[in-house]
Amino acid sequence: MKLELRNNKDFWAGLVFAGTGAAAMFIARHYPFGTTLRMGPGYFPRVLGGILILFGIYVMARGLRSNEKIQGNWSLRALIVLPLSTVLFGVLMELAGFIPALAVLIFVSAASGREFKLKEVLLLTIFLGVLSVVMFVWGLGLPYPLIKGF
Amino acid sequence: MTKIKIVLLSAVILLAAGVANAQNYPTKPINMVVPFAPGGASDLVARIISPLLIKELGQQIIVDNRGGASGNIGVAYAARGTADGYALLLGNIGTMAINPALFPKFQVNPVRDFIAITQVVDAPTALVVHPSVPAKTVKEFIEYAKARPGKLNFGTAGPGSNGRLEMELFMDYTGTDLVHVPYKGGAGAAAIGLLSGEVQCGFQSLASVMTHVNAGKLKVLGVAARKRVKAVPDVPIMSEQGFESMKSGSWQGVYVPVGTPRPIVNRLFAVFTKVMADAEVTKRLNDNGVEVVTSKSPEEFAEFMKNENDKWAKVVKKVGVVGE
Amino acid sequence: MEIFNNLIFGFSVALSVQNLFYCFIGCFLGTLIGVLPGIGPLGTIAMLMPLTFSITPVGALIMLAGIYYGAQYGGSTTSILVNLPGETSSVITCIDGYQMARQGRAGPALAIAAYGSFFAGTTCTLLIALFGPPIAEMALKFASPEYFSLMMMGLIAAALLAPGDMVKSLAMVALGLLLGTVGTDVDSGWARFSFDIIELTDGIGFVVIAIGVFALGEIVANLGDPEERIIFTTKVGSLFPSKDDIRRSIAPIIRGTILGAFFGVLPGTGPAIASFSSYMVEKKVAADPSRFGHGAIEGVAGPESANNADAQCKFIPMLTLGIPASGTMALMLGALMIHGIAPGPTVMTQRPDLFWGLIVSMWIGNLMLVVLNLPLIGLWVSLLKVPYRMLFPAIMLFCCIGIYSLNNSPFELYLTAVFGLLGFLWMKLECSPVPLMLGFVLGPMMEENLRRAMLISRGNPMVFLTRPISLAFVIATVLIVIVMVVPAMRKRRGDITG
Repeated sequence: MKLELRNNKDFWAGLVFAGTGAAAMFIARHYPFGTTLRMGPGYFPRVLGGILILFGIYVMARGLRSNEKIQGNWSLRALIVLPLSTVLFGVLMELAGFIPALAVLIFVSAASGREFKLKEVLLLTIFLGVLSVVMFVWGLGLPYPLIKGF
Repeated sequence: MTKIKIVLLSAVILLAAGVANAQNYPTKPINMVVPFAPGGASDLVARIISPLLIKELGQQIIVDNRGGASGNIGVAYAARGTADGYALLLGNIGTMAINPALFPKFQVNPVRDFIAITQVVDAPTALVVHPSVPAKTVKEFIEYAKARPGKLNFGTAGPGSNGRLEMELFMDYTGTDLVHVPYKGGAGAAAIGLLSGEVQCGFQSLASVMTHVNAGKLKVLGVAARKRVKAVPDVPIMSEQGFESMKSGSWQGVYVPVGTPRPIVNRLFAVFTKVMADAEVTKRLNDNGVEVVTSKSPEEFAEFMKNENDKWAKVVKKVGVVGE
Repeated sequence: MEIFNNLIFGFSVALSVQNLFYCFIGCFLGTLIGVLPGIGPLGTIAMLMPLTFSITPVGALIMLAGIYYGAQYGGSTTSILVNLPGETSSVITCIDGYQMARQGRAGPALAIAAYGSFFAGTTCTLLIALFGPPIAEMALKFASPEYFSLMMMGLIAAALLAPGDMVKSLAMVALGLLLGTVGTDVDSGWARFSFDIIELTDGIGFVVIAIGVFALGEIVANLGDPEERIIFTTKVGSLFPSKDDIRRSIAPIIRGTILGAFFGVLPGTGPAIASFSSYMVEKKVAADPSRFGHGAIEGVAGPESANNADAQCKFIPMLTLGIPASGTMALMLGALMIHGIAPGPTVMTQRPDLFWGLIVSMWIGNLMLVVLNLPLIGLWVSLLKVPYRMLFPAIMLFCCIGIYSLNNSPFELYLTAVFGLLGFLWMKLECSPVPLMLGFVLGPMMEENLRRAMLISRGNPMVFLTRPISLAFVIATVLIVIVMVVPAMRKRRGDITG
């Protein structure tokens, strides 16, 4: 049973729905509910949370019965690195400026792929860097400091 | 050289450098935070005045839009700026006078954390009504409203908007009872509600309703401004109709973080007042329904701001608006 | 006919060398903006506004308008090529457009998108010229009850027509509605689900979810499946749509235009609704709905036309009544006023050169855009041949810049990362994100209009039935439900007994 559950598509889908619904209802528990005729801010969130829980349970049960598997391979590295590189870009834009941010983004993103050729990535970084500066900072006038501290 | 002479010399150099700094100011681009997304009314003002500002200051002015959370995000960011004249804030009535009352837990207090330099503009707000309301003056409107408490609706851009608070002030003063109907999507959405007759009245920025007034689709009963506005010269201002405290609409002004040296504050004051007095700038602003209003000194603006803070704090407390 | 004279007059204004030049610049910039995710026409117009100070009002307006609908054209390009919605309204194009690209049919997809948009643009220009003011007047009859009933109808239809698994899609709609509640409640000022994070008090940006789920999620999935990745970047078929493509696209284009015009004229509808509706309608009337989601050209033709029609028709309430139907329109309004022109019923008589010049230049702009975009198709498609390992960092870069530029806020990037993870999760669990997006877009508007309608009617729910337009939508909704649910029920009963 345990092994089957690990890849059971609908089971997990249902669990995600039900879990989200429950979390929503829990977080919104103090929002004023109001009446049906004069709804408060808590009305919709809690009703929706409840609906999600119901749907979630249904899908979970269905998953246990039909047992369809999750398809396809996936790259754990990409899953972690790409969102991380997005976050890094944001952090670096504030701390270090446009050029460091984009350089790090390109490098880190490229590192999540299966092939990484240093020279290629360097060239790509320079090319994209110049292109971005021309288009965004000069062309559109976006107020991004190129390198902070200069 | 003896030790004393070295110390004295260093002190003199540092002092001179400090003074020179203020005199040389600015030597690099200046960042002006606009706490609203590009395209809004506040942003428009920034973009109209920046070309001339750049000329006067001789340095680039970067308009930095940081919108969100009713402007609080931009204000928080600006408060962290360096106190050397290179980090300006273009604040408005919402962010600098209303939000402190709405969001008491917010870590930035505009009166405490900024030095007010000067007011730059005022966008008059007007009491507008739908043609179905048979009132031609504010007085008639008050009578009409008193006769039907809880029946008339007024549209606003949200519970914390200055349109809503102005109406609350109005209701408090006149003893009328109107129902607040909020619209997401800002003043534009509320104006649509007015036009369709869904709401019968409201305080709207005069600029945004002028076209409808000219087309006869809406009526202006009174204008909240210092003096009568050219666009509607026959409409008396609110203070003429008994509302002493409604002498301004949606105003904007320039600020720097607290701790900025006095010489720089003075320099900025001089530059901004000069730019605002320019005929071209004035014309462009007027065409958008915005009046140029500048303060006589940074102290006068600070006083004005404090009065506004007190005024709106009272209204917020009475109404019990939920902030954060 | 007077219209004829007006149009000829308009041509004389629009065809001046100067104005043509401004039109071109606008269209060019607009296409560029549209191709880049996140940076929308609103931000661009705001930034370029000072530039227009030095040009004549007519020229300035023509240029700004060019940027605006140029962005619509450009937005579909990246949606089709790399599943990256460049504009809010091009999210729907991603669904079938991207699939077509994966099958090597990016060329036809881009071409049909351009043709459809051009048809829609031309039609709407005529519409504005002929019926502008009366249409705008009628649009004013829509108030909160009408908007709510309309959106309710849309939501229910969407839920019933959702691609793939119906139950999971309904759940995704609910999830989207729930995500839409994040933020400050407009009625009470109460901050919902904001966890004391100040940026969340405005809710989650649609672009953040769209890019996170579609673009990021797609890249992560691609990097995990090396075989599939190679296929779509090397096999590129013909650049031109086949006769079959064209035949299939005609009706969707017409329907899309009608839908887009309808939504464009109503001030209270947002972007994306037009294209969403068109997609749903096309799926419903198609002979073989199962093709949708796998590269059905109707899924590109309809929504793209609806998009463009919506964008053009948003000008109607702005020009003829002075009501901005969206943020961008409000900005245009501001731009006009800076130049001393107050749009409204009087503008047609007082400044006919402006009004008719703008209308004609809209059509010219559409023409220019088709001319600009069609040859570029070859360029874009060859971009696809770039090895993916170099392409995807570039995609990441443009996404990040785009999102950051919305509010100069790194927080939005963090949110995008989260939605990237979620998007991947949903893809693997086979929960389609499209119903979620629809719920997310419609939810807040529905809630707002519902509560406002109830507020104004002082708690009387009959208001939805007593107002004629609203009643019409309610009846339509009931009919849709009957038409969709009853055959399904009958079939199931048949399975049991037969």
